[in-house]
Amino acid sequence: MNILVCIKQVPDMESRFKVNGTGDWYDEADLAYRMNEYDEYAVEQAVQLKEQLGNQPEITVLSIGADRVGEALKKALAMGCDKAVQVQDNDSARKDPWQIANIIAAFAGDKNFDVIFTGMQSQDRGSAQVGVTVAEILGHNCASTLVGFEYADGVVTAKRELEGGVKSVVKVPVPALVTCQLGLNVPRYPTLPNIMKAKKKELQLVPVASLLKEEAATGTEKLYPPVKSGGGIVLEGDLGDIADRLLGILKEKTTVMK
Amino acid sequence: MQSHPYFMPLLFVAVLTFCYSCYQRLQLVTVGAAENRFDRPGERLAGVLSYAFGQKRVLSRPFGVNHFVLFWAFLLLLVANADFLWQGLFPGGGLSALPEGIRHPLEFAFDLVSLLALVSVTVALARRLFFAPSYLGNEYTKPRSGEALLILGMIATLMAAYFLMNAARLAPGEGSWQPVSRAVSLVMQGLPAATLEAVALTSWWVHAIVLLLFLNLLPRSKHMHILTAIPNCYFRSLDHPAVPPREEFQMGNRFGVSGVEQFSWKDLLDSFSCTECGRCQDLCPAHNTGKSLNPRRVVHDLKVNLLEKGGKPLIGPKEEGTSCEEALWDCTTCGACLSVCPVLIEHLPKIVKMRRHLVQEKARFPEELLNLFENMEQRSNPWGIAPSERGKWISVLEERDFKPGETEYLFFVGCAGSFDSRAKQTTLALATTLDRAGISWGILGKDEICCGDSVRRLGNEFVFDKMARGNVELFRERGVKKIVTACPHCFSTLKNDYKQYGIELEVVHHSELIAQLVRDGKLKAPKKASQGKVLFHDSCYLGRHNDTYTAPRAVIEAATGGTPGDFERNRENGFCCGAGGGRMWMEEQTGARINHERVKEALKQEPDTICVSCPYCMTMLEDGLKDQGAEKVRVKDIAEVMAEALNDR
Repeated sequence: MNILVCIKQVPDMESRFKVNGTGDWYDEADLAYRMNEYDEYAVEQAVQLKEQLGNQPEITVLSIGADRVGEALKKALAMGCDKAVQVQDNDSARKDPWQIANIIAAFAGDKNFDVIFTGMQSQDRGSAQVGVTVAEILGHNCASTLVGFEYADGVVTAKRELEGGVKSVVKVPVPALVTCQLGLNVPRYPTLPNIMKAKKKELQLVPVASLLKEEAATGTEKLYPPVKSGGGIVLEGDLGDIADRLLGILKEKTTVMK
Repeated sequence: MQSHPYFMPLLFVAVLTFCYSCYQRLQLVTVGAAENRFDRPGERLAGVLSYAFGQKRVLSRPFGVNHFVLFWAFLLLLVANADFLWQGLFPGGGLSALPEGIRHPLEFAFDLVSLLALVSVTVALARRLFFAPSYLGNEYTKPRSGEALLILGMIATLMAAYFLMNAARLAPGEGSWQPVSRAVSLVMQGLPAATLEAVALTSWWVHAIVLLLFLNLLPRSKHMHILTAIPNCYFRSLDHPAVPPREEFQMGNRFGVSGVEQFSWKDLLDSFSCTECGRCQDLCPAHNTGKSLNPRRVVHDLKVNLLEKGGKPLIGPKEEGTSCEEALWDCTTCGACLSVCPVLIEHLPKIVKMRRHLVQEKARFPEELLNLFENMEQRSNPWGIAPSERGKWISVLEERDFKPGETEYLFFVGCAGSFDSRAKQTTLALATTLDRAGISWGILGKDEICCGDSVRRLGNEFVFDKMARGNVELFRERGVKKIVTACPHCFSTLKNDYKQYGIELEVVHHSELIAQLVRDGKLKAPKKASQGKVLFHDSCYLGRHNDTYTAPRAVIEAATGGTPGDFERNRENGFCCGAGGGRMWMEEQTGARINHERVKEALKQEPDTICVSCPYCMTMLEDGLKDQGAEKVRVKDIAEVMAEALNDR
């Protein structure tokens, strides 16, 4: 069995974001990067599937981006993937989901992956388009937003999270692509010997130009924070005084006291 | 008296089996990994004099006097018993061949010392039988353990036989040099000579056989400590015992300890030096609150595992010879066990070494830690707040970046001081206090990273190593020489752990710096700020791990004008708040809560204010007070108390 996991490196969501000079993306200065959270579920599920099948399948992990994505790939290797592919692209943030999906599909095209795992969406762009588009281009079966995954005899049984707390169970024969969601599993903490071993695993570099033949289907016009619509008030001082002031505000500015 | 023909072969066999038992055990010690404990012989010898021969730690508890007497009696009687065996082989030789001027004082000493030994053994027996302290027993042994009673009985028999043997041989009017034996002989006065001879011969054989049995029981029981305790004191850790060794992160290495052979030989020697005195168990906050951990048991299990030659897993199900994972995670690394052990056994580093195995090789740890490790790796602070927020607290003051060559003290604010809203008040209090004293200080702001204390104690040495190297590099780059910190965990880590990275920093805890400034007259609190009845809680990493007990008390005294009260358990015997060793970031599910226990201890004295010198203690005690419905008792850092006094004009 051949497994592909697609991961993205994203900024730590705890960071303070600023809009960049050209006004179309965030400023990358002073940001710390990590593996996209949803992709960690994807990696974990791929490794669990490999373990279920007696470690026979080979897992390839792929990421598109500048050299810094090597760190995210290393983590995936330490978690149990077998080899890594970095599609070298210093400008990946400007590629739209259509182009990203096409890059992945072009890479996967002739490699006969039985199962492809991706995150449900990225934490920074959050389009949730890439996984499903890859499946469409490759003609694979697809199930999105997985919170449960089982595999037996060439069929993936996927539990999907739908809206309003409803869940559905679908069976998809391989080749299949699944996108992974919070609740699917608990990503493992890589052991130190595996971190060491990951350093020796194969990292293949592929120039993005050799895979990307498509123009962008969408473009970013402008990126800006929401306009401030008013601030909060912090009352400080003596407790009794605060209570009086709060009462005053409630009486004057709201209808709750009327 | 003629030498008995059976005695020589008996002695030969007894000595041979004794040597074999010792060899077997020492052989086991050598399976341990190499560790250099042979440096600085002068310092080591001085330690032996004070800890072994001076019985310094033994005497720290009242009943230790009894052991002191027994120990010295043993040393002296070692000569008497060597002479006894020698004369068994060569009657009329040994000490009896010495001129009277030397022989008589020796006999006098042996006679008196034997009586002392007999008394002290009787007291020890009575203690075990009738007034045993609770900590002598636990789930695998009890105060009235057969082994302990047998050994004490043997020693008592030896002394009794010694007196009978001497008394029976004393001619009337003889023996003025042996007052005790003489007193016994008076009782036997009038017995026929043949009976006396029979008593003398019988007691001689009883003495001989019990002595040889005793010799052979030693290496096969907890009384092995008679042989190993003195070497164990010699090979003690001269550096801070709480600082575990570094690990080398290379392909193919093993990380942490999962089997006895991965411990160092000194760790293994420790296990043969434990006397099961139970003092560590008595002081351990985890054991005291009904958790799985008992430091004494960790050492005991190591010994059992070693004796079974690793036939059992070292870490696994809760059974004799195996430490269970839960127990290893219970440790707050407070160091009470280290500081109380009379023979300087190093419990804590063993626990950290086993945690290293669990974290680094097995990725098995309480699930809360997954979040902590990720926060540490990603954002270099336990809360996972953005590193860019680290310097925000300073915004109420003016910017204060550490400037190489200009600023004297780096104020290493630490994660709690930077991110925890309560601890930030301490940070501000210290900042304003330093300003009042005219101290030149600066911060690293968002460049500061966590010192790594929690991850190191939790066994995540790989992440600690990255943090330590990062900080050390930063300190070198900025030319940092002096550091002040308000957190004992940062303080101890920067001061002690970072030495392993080849950097010698002058690190002071804020209590020491403020106390110094008060002494130098640079800080004057003209009108003392009353805090009501004040109790001071010793933080483990300031007190026990760094022996700083007076400075924080001096600060409180300078600020309030009164000497702070002490908890019942204070200083070396202090009781942890429950947050050390990474426990701050873990759930406490088994037994009573450690902070509740500590708060209850405080409330007995009805304090108005509990003073602390550590942000973790602050959180734990405040939470404990809330849970006990005693919020009216305030918890304040010593810096806050000082800042209040300075502003109270």
